[in-house]
Amino acid sequence: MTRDKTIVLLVWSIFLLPLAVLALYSFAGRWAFPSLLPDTMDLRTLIYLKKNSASILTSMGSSFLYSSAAVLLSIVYSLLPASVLSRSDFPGQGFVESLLLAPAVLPVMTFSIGIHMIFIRLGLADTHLGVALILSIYSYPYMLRALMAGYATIDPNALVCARNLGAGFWQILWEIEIPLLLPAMVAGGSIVFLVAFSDYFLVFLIGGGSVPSYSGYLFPFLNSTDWSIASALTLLSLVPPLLLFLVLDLTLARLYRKWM
Amino acid sequence: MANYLKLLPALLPFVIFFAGGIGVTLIQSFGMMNPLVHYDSIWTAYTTILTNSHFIISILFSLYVALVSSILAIVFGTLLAYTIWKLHPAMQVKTLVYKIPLILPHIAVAFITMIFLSRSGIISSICHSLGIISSIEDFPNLIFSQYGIGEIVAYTAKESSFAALMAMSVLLKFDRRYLDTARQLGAGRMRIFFMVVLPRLREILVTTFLILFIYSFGAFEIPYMLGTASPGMLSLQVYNYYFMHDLSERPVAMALLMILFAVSALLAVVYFQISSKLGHKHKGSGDDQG
Amino acid sequence: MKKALLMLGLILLLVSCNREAPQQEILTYDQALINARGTRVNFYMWSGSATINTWIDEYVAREVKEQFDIDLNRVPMDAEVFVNKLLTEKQVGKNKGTIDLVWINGENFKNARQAGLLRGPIADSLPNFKAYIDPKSVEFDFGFPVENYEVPYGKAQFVFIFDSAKTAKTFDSPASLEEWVIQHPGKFTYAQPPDFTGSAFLRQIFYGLTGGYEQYMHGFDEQLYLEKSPLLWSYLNRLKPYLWQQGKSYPRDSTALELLFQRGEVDINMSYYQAFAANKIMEGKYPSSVRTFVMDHNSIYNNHFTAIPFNAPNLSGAMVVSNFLLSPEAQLSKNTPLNWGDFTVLDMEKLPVATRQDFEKLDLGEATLDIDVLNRNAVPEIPSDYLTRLENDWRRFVLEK
Repeated sequence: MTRDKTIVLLVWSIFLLPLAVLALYSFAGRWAFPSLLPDTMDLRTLIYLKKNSASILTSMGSSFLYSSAAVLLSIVYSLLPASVLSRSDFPGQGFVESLLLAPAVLPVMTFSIGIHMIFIRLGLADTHLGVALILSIYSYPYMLRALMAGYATIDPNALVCARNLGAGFWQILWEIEIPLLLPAMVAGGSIVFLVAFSDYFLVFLIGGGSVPSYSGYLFPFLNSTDWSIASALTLLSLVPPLLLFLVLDLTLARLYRKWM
Repeated sequence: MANYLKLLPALLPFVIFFAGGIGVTLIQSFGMMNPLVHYDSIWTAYTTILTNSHFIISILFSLYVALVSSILAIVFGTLLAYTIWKLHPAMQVKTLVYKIPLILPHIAVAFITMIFLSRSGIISSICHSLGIISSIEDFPNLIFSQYGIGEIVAYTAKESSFAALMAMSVLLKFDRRYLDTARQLGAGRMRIFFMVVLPRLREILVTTFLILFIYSFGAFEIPYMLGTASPGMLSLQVYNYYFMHDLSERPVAMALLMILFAVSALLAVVYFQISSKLGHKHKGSGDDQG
Repeated sequence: MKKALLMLGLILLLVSCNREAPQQEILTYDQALINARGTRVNFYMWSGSATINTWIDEYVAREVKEQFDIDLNRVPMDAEVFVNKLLTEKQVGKNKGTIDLVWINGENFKNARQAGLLRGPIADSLPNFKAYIDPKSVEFDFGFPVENYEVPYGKAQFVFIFDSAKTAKTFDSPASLEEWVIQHPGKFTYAQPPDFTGSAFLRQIFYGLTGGYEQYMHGFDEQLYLEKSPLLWSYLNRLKPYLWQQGKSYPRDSTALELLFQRGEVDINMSYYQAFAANKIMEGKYPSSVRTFVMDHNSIYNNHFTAIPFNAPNLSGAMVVSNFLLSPEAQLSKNTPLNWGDFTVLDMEKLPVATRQDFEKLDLGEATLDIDVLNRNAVPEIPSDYLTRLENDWRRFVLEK
């Protein structure tokens, strides 16, 4: 048991040390080699955060918005195809499946730089919709994967039974499949959301600065000499995903208690 | 037929945006759609790249960084997952912090790497106070080095957690009683890991390795923050050619993108072959039970 | 296959012509003032300095809202990148863009101007330009004629930075720099050109070694360049073994050099911004013993500008904001070290006496050199053809050597 405790402590120190250093840096004034702790401390960062809370929150809200939209789009793309790919066997299925999963593995730069030209033409560049679209294109395979796994757990007999009782396609989808798929959807959606929320390049390319984003707000600071503000903003970037996962966890648990 | 129709919601965006985007990049790499470019041959941009040692080195450098960082991530990730899995279940819950790198954006991981590894950084300062080095000059220049150490460390840090997560997903289905049996038969700790556990993980580790490899080969954010101009990873060259040069250099950027794509696609084919074999095996075992 | 053809057709349709030039309407400032009320201006600018961002977000945004009912929106983006964005938009014929105003100068201005990405002439229609600017002082931007396509914004001058508590001696010429570097091995380096500051350092050494800037002011002369530039390369190669990392690698930009200085890896920093050190002391990032200095009669200065893109959606608003940035009140606020410390472009002779006194009364901080010293040693920027050539050849003859 003590060995277990040592291991847990070790894991904690490896993964929390960087965050502790970021926290320390947030309050550091001067911090030169070889000091282990900051040479001077101040509250400049907090003052900055407070003064700029409006623009920080706007960028966070905007990131939250397009990331959620990307999740919704990925569900729209994936729901029906996942049911086909998980249940039936048709010639060329393996190929189609690989093709549809490919955008998540292949480098995003190749297709996004090409599509930028089309998006400008269509008026989709520099808009939230355009950003959500581009993000959904390369992240939907995670949703597709998750939903395929979800469909595999649904007993086909239950659906046959429902059909015999006279339920139509949409009714089955809405009342049986989607509730049963919810855990898979949350799992896939979490990944899609994370990928979208932390992306910098695509938002920067397609959003062109007109679509505020938290990564876009953060990036100039990470590249500047102001490591204090950069550290604080990095720590802040952990908040929205953690908050979302917490809320999802709680509401899902409640939903299930109600249904079951 | 209805099945094919049901595939449309994913096929349409795939064809229009993904394949379409690659198509536009391809067309531009031929020097078309560009008022400032008048190439004699559609392959001019490609010849420029393939006859320039600077670009070749850059491609090799990208492969090297991707290879080393993915191997390291797999090794660390597996060890991490195995260590955690062996813990008492009550203790396992407490190790959730290992997922932190998963929610940190790539640019943030690059930033943290810089804070720790620079010559006047945290690790260097710790070495100094332990008496390992006596001045900054004694600490090696890891960030911005020509060996890509900064990039490798950042990728490894970010991806080890992912590898651990994937390994864990298989380990959780693994029956602990195998371990007990092996131990009763007298197998040592090393032997158990290499002979009993690792074979179970082989396939997931190979597919995870390929995903990580393709990703680090083509991604932009970490090289942008930690890379040097020479040799520089391929994605950084693309960025420089696309954003920092004028319109007449665009086809070169586009051709670089197509090369990036071709290499990744080749690896992706291998990946899908392995993973579909895996999928069929799972289906097969399901049938056995049914 | 059919699908592929269809797709190709769709793409070609999408990117086919429709490329008529935008109508350049002529707008007086008074009309612009009226049109601009209740609109929003997207100001694209490099945003790596919290001090500068704060000045824009707080002071400028508040003032233009109160005075002109304009919502100012700062968008962080490097100049090369927004020039590229405009280029792409021009390429596909997007005549209504998203950028209203940009912060720009030098090569980026030249590239933008040559590709027809800027709207103009614009400066001479702004009242503050007409009232307070000496047109002669802003005729050229890195040797490239401005022709009123840019509106003056601020003035920057190159300084070296050191900590007087740590380093006793400084240098004032390329020769004494060489001595200094040999005496302090590993403690000096410069940002790798084409970094803005590193490249400016290169030019100062070039001026200093080859007999001053005057000879280069008449446009690019290949013969002259080939005759003079080897002096620079042999000098820099002589320094190499004594530089940080023995010159095997260089900090990739001025940010990296600044970090080396902040954390104590090198003893000398440089900045293309004369109040930089004073500002860092105020932020608490530098000890108060840090000071600045320049080389004798060899400290490059330049002007930086704002400009309006060809497809700016809110031309009126952009004109009003760039005129405001040029007003004595904004320039004074910008010149205050606590706010930013960037020097003014206004012609002191043209200002009312009271305003002029306000500028003279500014306390620029211990670390900032006196205006007299700065002015006495100021030299102009080199034409950008020389600049590009020097940057490329530095790579060939110094970095890869």
